[in-house]
Parts: sequence; structure tokens; C-alpha cells
Amino acid sequence: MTKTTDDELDSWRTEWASQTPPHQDLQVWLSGARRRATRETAWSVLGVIAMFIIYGVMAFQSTRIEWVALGLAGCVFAALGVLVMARVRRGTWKPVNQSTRAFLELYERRARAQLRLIRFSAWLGLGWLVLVGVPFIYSLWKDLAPKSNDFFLGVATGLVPLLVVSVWSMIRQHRRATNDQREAAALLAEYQQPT
Amino acid sequence: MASAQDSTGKRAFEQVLEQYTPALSRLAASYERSHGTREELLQEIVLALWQAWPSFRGECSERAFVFRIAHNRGLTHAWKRPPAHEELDELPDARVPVASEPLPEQAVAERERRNRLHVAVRSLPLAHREVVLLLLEDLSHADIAEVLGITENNVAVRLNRARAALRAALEADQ
Repeated sequence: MTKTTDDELDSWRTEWASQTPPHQDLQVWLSGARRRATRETAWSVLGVIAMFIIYGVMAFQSTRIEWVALGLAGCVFAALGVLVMARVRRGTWKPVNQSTRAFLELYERRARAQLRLIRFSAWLGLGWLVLVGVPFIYSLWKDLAPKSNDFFLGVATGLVPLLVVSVWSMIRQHRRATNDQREAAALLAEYQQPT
Repeated sequence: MASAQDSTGKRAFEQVLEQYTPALSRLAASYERSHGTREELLQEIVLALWQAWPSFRGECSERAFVFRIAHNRGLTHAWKRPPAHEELDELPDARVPVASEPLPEQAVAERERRNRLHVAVRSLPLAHREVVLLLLEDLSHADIAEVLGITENNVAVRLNRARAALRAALEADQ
């Protein structure tokens, strides 16, 4: 407590403390949030496991070589994605200490990690398309093209909107992460300057 | 053994939360005008506090620790969201139910003074607002230094400037 004979400050403090904005029951909210967080973590882990099971079953149960290749490639790309994400996000969960500087550094690190992940996702997506998508479509084309005249139309209507949405979403996320990183870096620089 | 410690820690945290909720709510209000977003910020602060609580080893006062977490969240919030314009229904007293009896003149004047102070605090630049907030919440210079990660001398300099800015904002509003 600051002992003060400062009338102006005392009056400000009294006025300030006399008004508390209405707020919810935070204890109740926190218990709910903890339950939700546990549930979300469990669902994320289950999602990754399910992805490996689906690709694994596809690779080991299918009798056709293109589906086996797709399953194996799916497992490899998913494992690569999980590994890189874990590596890039290391050190971005909590600040090294509770200082403001550590918080700002953490947010800058998170923005940088986000940028790296977006770039990696773009390369991963491109790799998937070139190494897996195109050969897979080619193998399907060999079988289906003689039977169907609309093969390429079908592929185009399925693939083009997906590509457009992915690229648009990636550009948006990249722009946001770049802005976040710039702002965090500027704030950090401002914070380091003596006042 | 671990479970008993967890339970003690949980109880201690609940007590801390109960004790500091009004102050945290005021702090959130000074970073965010809109009621809905203010509640979100308050939730973010509480979540951050809950995550950080196990790391509290008593190196600083409990008060400084709580405000440091809250301040850091508020700062991040202010950095991410530029302040919205002041809307009439988001003014501090706008959600207080209207009394059926007319308020005595003195109470009205007090309410106006409180509102003016809140609006003036919110209008301060971030660097000034953060020190003024902590000063108004009765933190000592040492605790403010601890929260902001600066020296006590620096706190004194900042406080001097921030108080002058607050005084000017209040005078401008009159």
C-alpha cells in the first residue's frame, strides 16, 4: 500500500474503487473453460489418431496400388505435418517468465511460428499435389477416362474450388500473421526504449 | 500427496480470484469499452492467471503477480484491438438500472465524476494508462516496477507524466 497525503490521488482512488463494472461468475466460467479445454485437446488428439488410422487402413487393406500409395503418402505427410508443427511451436506455449517483455517476446515468437507454419503448409500442400495428387489423378484417369468423357470436368470442379479457397485462406492468414509480427516487434522495440 | 497439494492450490487460487475480481474487472474495463469484449478480456485474464498460478513462488507480492498477468493480457488485448469509439450504452454507468426515485444531486455529481475518471483513464495513451491503472489500484511504486518490469525510478518518471496527462484529460472534459 502506498501511504500518501496526496489529496488528488486519494480522491481519484476512492472514485476509481467505488465503481466495479458488472461481471459474470468467474469461478463457474473457469470450471467450464477447463472442461472445454480438456475436451478440445482430447478431440484434437483423436482427430490425428483417426487420420493415421484411415490412411493406415487405406494403405494396408487396399488391393489397388494407387490407393496403397495414397494411404502411405497420407501417413508420411501427416507425420511430417505433426512433427514440423510440434517443432515450430516449441517454446511458444508460455512466456519464460511473467514479465511484460517476456509476454511480448512470446507473442512475437508465436507470430513468427505462425508464419513459418503457413509457409510450411503451402509447401506441404504443393508437395502433396505434385507427388501424390497428380499421380493419383493420373492413375484414375487411365482407368476412368475411356469410360467417362467428363473425367476432367469432374476433377476440375472438385479440385479448383478447393485450391482457390486454400490459397485465399493461406494468403489471409499470412497477411494477418505478418501484421501481428510487425506490431509485436514494434511494441517490443518501444518497450525496450527507456522512457 | 500431490492431490492434496492440488486441492490446496485450487482453494488458494479461488480465494485470489474472489479477492481480485473487482480490480480485474476495472482493469478490463479500462482496456475495453464494449461490455461483451470486456467480459472476454476478463475471461482471458482469469485463464492466464490460472495457467500461471502454479509458477507463483512468492518472489514478488501476490498483488504484483496478479496485476502483472492481468496487465500483460490487457496490453496484448489493446495491441490487438484498436479502441472502438465510445458508445452511449457502453459508458460505465449505462448498465446500472435506473432508480425509480430521482437521485440526490450529490449522488449524481459523484456518478458523473466517476464516469469522467473512467473515460479520462481510457483516453490516455497505453504507456500512461498502464501506470495510472496500477496507481489507482493502490499498488506501491515497488509493485508497479515489478508489474511493468522497470525500475522504481522509471516508475516515478512515468507516473509523473501519466498523472499530468490524466489531470489534463479530466480538465479537458470539464
